Amino acid sequence: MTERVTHRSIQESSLARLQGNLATMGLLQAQISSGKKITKPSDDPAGTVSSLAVRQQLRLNDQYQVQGQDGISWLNAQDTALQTVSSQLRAARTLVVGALNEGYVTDGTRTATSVELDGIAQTVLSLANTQYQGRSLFAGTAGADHAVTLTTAAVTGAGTPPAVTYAPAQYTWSKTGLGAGETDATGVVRTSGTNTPVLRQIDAQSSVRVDTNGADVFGTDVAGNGTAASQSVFSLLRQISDEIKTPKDAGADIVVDPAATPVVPVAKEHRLSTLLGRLDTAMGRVLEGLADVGARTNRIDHAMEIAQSNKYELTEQLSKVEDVDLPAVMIQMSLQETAYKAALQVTSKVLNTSLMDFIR
Amino acid sequence: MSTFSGINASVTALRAHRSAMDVIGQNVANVNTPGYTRQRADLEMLNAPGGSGMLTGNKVTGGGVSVVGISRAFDAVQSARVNVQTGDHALQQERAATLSDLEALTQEPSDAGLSKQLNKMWAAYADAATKVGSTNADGAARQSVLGAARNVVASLNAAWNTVDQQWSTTRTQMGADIDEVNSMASSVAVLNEQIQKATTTGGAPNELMDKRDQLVTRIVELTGATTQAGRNGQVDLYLGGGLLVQGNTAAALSVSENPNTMSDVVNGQLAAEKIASTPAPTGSDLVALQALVAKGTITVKVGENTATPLSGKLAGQVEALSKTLPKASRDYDAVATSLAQKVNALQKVDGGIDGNGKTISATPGTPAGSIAGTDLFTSNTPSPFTDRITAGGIALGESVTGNTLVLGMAVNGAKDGSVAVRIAAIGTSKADPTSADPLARMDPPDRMWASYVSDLGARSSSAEARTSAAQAVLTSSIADQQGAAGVSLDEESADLIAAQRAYQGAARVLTAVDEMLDTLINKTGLVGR
Repeated sequence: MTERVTHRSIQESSLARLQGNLATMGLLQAQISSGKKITKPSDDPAGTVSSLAVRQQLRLNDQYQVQGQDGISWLNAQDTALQTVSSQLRAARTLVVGALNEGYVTDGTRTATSVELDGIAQTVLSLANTQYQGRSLFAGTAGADHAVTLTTAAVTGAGTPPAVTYAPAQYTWSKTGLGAGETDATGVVRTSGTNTPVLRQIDAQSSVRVDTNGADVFGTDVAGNGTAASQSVFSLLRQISDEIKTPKDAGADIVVDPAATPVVPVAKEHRLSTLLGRLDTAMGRVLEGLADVGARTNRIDHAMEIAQSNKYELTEQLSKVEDVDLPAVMIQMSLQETAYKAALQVTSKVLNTSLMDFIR
Repeated sequence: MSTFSGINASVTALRAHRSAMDVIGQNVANVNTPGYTRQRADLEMLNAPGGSGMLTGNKVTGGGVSVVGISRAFDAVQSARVNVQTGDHALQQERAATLSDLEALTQEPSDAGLSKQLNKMWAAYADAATKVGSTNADGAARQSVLGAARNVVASLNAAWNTVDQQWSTTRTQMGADIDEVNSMASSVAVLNEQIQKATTTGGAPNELMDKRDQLVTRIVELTGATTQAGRNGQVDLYLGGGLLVQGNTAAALSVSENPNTMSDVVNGQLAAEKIASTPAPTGSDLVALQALVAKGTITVKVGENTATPLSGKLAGQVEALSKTLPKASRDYDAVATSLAQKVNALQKVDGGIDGNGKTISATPGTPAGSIAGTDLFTSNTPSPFTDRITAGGIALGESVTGNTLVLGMAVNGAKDGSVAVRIAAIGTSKADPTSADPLARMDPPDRMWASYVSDLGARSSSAEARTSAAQAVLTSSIADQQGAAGVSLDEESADLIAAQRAYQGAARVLTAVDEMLDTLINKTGLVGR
C-alpha cells in the first residue's frame, strides 16, 4: 500500500470490494432460489461427476424396477397356466385311476372317459400355448404363433384288436435356439439344440429368466430347445385316451427315443397302469416348473424391494450432492448482507467528506 | 541592489503562485477524469543577479521565485505494473468467459443435459428388449428407441452448432478488436509525434501524455503488448516480438484470413496428427494434409512479422479459436463417434434379426435372404477424415425405421431381445484397454461425456479463480497507481490555501515596499516644515 491515498484510489478499491460483495450475494441468492448447490459443472467439478453417476444409477434403478415388474407379470401368467395344467392333469389322473378300477366296463363308458381325456389334452395343449402380450410363455423368443404344435399324428397298427404297434403322436416346440444337431458358434454340435431364455435384468449383476422352457416342463417328443426327446404330456394324454377307448393287444408301443422312454411292457393288463406312472412323472415335472416359477417370482420381488430402497438412498445421495444446505446458506446470506450494508455505509461516509467541507 | 528589486521579487511570487493555483484548478477540475495524472507547478528560487561595479560586495537577497515546469506525478514502474496486470486480467477473463460459455452449454447436471438423453435412449433400448414381438407394444417400443435416438442426435447437433457459433463470434470479435487496436496504435503514433515536438520546444505536453497512456493501457488490455519508454517522452509498443508502435510510426496488426470455420481448425489438427503418425503419409497425401494444416492455423502478424500474443484479450481469443473451442468440438465429436460406432456395430451384428424378420449377415445373401443391416447413426457432413462422425454431422440413417432396428439374434428366435440388451448395456460398459478390437478399447459415450463435463468444470473453476486473483491484483495495482497519480481533493485544498496565503503574503510585501517608497519619496525633506 502506498503512503498516499486519494479519493480516486479509495473509489476504485471500494467499488471493487462492493462488487465482490454483491457478486457473492448474487451467488448465494442463486443458490437459495434454485435450491441447487451445483448449477454448473465448475461450481463443484467432483460433485458434478458424482451427480452424473448417481443420476445414471437412478435411471438404471428405475429400469430394474420396470423390468422386474414386467418379469413378475410374465411369471404370474405362467403360474396361472401351470396351476391350471396341474389341476387338469390331476383330473386326468382321477379318470385313469377310475378306468383302471372299474375295468373295461362298456364301450360307452370307455368312450366317455376317452372323450373327457381328449378334452383335457386339448386344454393342456392350449395352456402350453398361452401367450403374454403376444409372446409364448413357454417358448419366449420363438417367432412362431404357437409354442407347440402337433406335427405327427398317432399311428395305430392294423388289425382288430389293433396290432401291438402304436406310434404316439408327436408334438414339436417352436425353436428358441439352435436346432438339434446344429453346430453352435464355438463349433460344438448341440445334440438337443439350445434354448434361449427371456431375461429381465433386476440388478447390476443378475438377470432372471422370466419365461419357462416348455420342452422341459411339458416334455418334448422331438429333441430340441435344449431338451432330449421324451414323450410329451400332450402325446401321453392322447395315448392314454386312445388306450382307454381301444385297448391294445399285448405288445410294445413305438417310441421316438427308446433309450429315453421306457418301452411299455407287452402285458395287456399292465399297459394302462404304466401309462398312469408316466402321467405321474409328467405331473411331477409340471409341479417342479411351478416351484421354479414361484422361486423366481420371489427373487424378483426381493430384488424390487431392494431397488425401491435403493431409489430412496440414491435420491437422498443426489440431494446431498446437488441441493443447498438451506439453513447454512441463509446464515451466510444474512452475514453477507450485513457486510454489504456496512460496506455501503462506510463507503458513502468516506467518499462524502473532504477538506473542502471544512474550509470557509 | 536596486530599490525596486523587492517589487520585482513580489511580482515573481504573485506570478508563480497564481500559476500554482492554476495547476490546482486543473487538478481539481480533472479529479474524476479517467487517465488524468495530477500535476504540480515546480517552483524554484531565483538567484540575485550577479553584482558588478560599485555595488559589488554588498549583501544581496535573491530575485524571487519562478515556475520552472509543470510536472506529472507519473510513476513509470506503477504504470507498467498496471499495464501488465491489465493484459493478464484480460487474458484470464477471456479464458474464463470461453470456458463458462462451454460449460453453460453442457446443461449439466440437470435433466436437460446430454447424459439424460443418453440415459433415456439406453432405457428405451432396455424397454424394447422386453417388448420384442409383443403384439401391441413392439412397434411402439421401436418408435420410442428411434425417438430417444433422435433426441440424442438433436442434442449433439445443437451443442456442436452452438460451439461453432461461439467460434465464429469470437473470430468476428477478434477482427473488430484488431481494427480498434490498429486505430488506437495510429493515434498513439500521432500523439508520440506531438509529444516529441512539444518536448523539444520546451512545452509541457502532460495532457497529451495522459491521453496517450490511456490508449496504451487499452491496447495492452486488448493485445498484451509491452511498453518501453522512448526518447523525448515517446512510448514504443512491442507485441509478441513485433514492434507495434515505434516513435511516430505504427505497424498494422493483422490476423490470417484462414481458418474461416471451426471445422478448418479441427481438420488442421487432425491433419497434423496424421502427418506425425506412422506410417507417415507421403506424396500427394502429404501435400493435401499440409494444405489442411496451413488452412487450419491461425496467425497473428504485426506488419510482416508473425507475432505470438502472450497476454491480453487477443491471446485469450487466439487460445479459444485454436485450442479451447476446437478441443470442445472434438470432445463432442468423440462422444458422437463412440455412440455411432458402438451402436452401429450391434445394429449390424452378424446373425442379428430385424423387425421385418430379416437376418443380418456380414456377407449379405448368405444365408439366403439375409441383408447387410442398416446403420442407426450416420454422418451427413462430408469431412476429409471419413472415419469420423462429428457431433455436428451425426444423424439418424435415412432408411432407418422401427423395423430396421436389430434387437435380437436370429438363432434365438424372432422374438429375442438379446441385442437390445447388449445395446442398453453400452451406457454402463467400460473400455477394455487390452482388447484387440479398437471398438472395445473405446470408452462408451456416457463415460466420455462425464469426463468431458468434469474436465471442463475443473478448468472453468480454475480459470474463474485465476480471473478473480488477477482482478484482485489489478485492483490493488490500480489503487497504488491512483494513489500516486490521482488527485487528492484534501491535498489540493491544502495546497490551494498555501498558494493563496503565499499570494496574499507577496501582495503584503508589495504593499510594504510601496509604503516604504511612499515614505522615501513623499516624506523625505519635510522635517520641520
